[in-house]
Amino acid sequence: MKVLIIGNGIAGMSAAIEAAELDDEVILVSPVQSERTQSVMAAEGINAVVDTAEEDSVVWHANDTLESGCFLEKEEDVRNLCEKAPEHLKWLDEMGVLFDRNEDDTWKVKASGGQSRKRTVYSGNSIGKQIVTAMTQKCLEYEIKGKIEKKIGLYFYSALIRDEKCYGALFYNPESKMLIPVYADAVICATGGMNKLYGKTTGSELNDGYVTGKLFLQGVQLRNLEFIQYYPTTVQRGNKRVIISESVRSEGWRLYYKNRSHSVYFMEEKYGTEGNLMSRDLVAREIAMCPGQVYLENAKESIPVTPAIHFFMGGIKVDGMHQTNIAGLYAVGEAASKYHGANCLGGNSLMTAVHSGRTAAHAVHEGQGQPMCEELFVPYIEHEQEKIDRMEQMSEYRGGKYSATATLRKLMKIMSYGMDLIRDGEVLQDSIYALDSSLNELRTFPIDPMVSVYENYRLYPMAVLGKATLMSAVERRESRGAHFRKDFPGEKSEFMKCSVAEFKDEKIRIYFEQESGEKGGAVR
Amino acid sequence: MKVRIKRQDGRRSAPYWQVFHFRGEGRITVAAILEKLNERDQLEDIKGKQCRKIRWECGCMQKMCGSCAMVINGHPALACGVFINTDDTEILRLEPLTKFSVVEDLIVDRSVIWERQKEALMYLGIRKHPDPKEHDHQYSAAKCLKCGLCLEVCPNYLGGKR
Repeated sequence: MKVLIIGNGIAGMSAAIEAAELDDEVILVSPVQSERTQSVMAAEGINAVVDTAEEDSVVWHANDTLESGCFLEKEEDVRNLCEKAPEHLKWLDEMGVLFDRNEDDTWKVKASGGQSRKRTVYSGNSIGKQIVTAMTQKCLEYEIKGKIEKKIGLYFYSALIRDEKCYGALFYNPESKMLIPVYADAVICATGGMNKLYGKTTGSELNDGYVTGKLFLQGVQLRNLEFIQYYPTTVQRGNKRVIISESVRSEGWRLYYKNRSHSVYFMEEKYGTEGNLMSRDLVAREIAMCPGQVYLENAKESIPVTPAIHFFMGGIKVDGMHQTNIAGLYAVGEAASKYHGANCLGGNSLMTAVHSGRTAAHAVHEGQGQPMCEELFVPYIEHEQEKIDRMEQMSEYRGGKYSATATLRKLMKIMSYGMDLIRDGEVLQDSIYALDSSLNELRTFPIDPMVSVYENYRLYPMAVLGKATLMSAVERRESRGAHFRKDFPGEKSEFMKCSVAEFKDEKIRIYFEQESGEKGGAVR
Repeated sequence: MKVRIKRQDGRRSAPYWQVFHFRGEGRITVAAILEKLNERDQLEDIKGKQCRKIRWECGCMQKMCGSCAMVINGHPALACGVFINTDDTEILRLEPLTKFSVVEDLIVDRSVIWERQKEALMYLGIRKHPDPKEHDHQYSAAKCLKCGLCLEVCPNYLGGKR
């Protein structure tokens, strides 16, 4: 099988290495080298049931995950993840990841908010970078052995889809200014979250959700867009929001705000001695509701902290083997929506990146090849190339000073406001109206010649993705996990379902669908 | 403050300097300064001429990805790691790394780093047992960002020529 993998972070590389090990032909495409991806930023750890002093089991890991996700996920998928997790750890270990170990060689584990047991395996404070380093050299091995072909410097443009089947993808090369098709038996999207749509988040500037938005416009269904994780404690450094790890809270740091000269330890007052270690969605919300600036303190210092967007539980809708509603098109990692439900457990997102990548590679390996069809897409590619050529040819403004920068800024403002930690139906509706006006402007396809072609063509799909997200948040008239509505503050059993977003006949439709056949309770 | 940037429109174009006004905003990183310049609806140089936005590589903004390596007031560094007192500084000079060929503005082609690793067959195979004695060395080595700053300053590295 020939598989095209878009994105070379941990999820993309997991798929690439697994596919190479299964003897499939891999083409790995990304605008940048793996060292530049968001994956290198992960600092907490990776969850798995391992041999520890404290007893643990796959059932408990699965239960913690399902519960944190507020029972929106399919038991079978979560159980599969937790069952395979120890094997994935071993896979990473053999690749050379330098996990922290005890004297007897067993893995060290630490606690992560919201889990019943300590099961977060780690490597100093740079688990993400350590895994990326080990995986990049593994990919290099397969590159040298001719199994993986790496294409760096290409930007995704669109998927090549016909009659609900995916035949490959079209990429833009900013140097040659050409659109370049890559055909394959299957395409795996490992393109990350939609950080740039919101402005300042804890993640990478490179993750803008363009791929997710464009695929949505091409008929790919999305899921649970309203669930966005805010990391509770971040600080402003330079022009960036930087995380202060929740581990410091398990080492005794405490959260408080000042009421005149007196410190209010609000988490402890409300939830008891373990108050500082509750799950991320809860802590973030409590911080947002405090009447003053919140600080993290230990014996020596006090740091002002604010919640900031950190992880996207929502994204491309996929089945148990990570295939989307388009045959031959898969999504993995943060780009896909699976396992985390309404809230992601710390340490789980790295494990799901690895698990989803390997799972998709297997699905592709066992799937069917696509017939060659390059002639099918020639007219489409020619038409799109003309659009690109027109964009490249503009060298100055022609009246009406359209600024792509101003449009993006407006989008980011609308999204951060509407999808704030504490949401409200009216605010969401107003945000949708504001976004509609941006969409109208973008439909006339204005061009800003002062920024790159990519920064121009990414805007419309990003805006559509933003609208689908706001609409999902409006439709979910309840509060669950990371989605909190002031106007609907309780959880409702009729919403124990995933939201699905679909683009059809030029309209966005949101509906709700239950994942599991059963009531989605705990694993027995 | 004035920001002087060495620009280049393409691989085969000639480099040229452009200067921009920057109103003091306290102590911020060079990366933040570049972001703020590019956040202006229209970017104008000191003569009032409208310019293309400044092209530079940026990822994590927190010294973990190695994207933004450049030469800042003559010193090679990561732009997101260098703080400038914008109220007290007269001129900030930004140039691309000199040991790599320029792609556009502050973006250079560092692909030689990965190409040499491939030529040197730099992969590990399967590790049977991690060696606790080597853990700290390996951990540090594994943190290499492949940013190219060491090559920029190394007197033995002449910029990709054999």
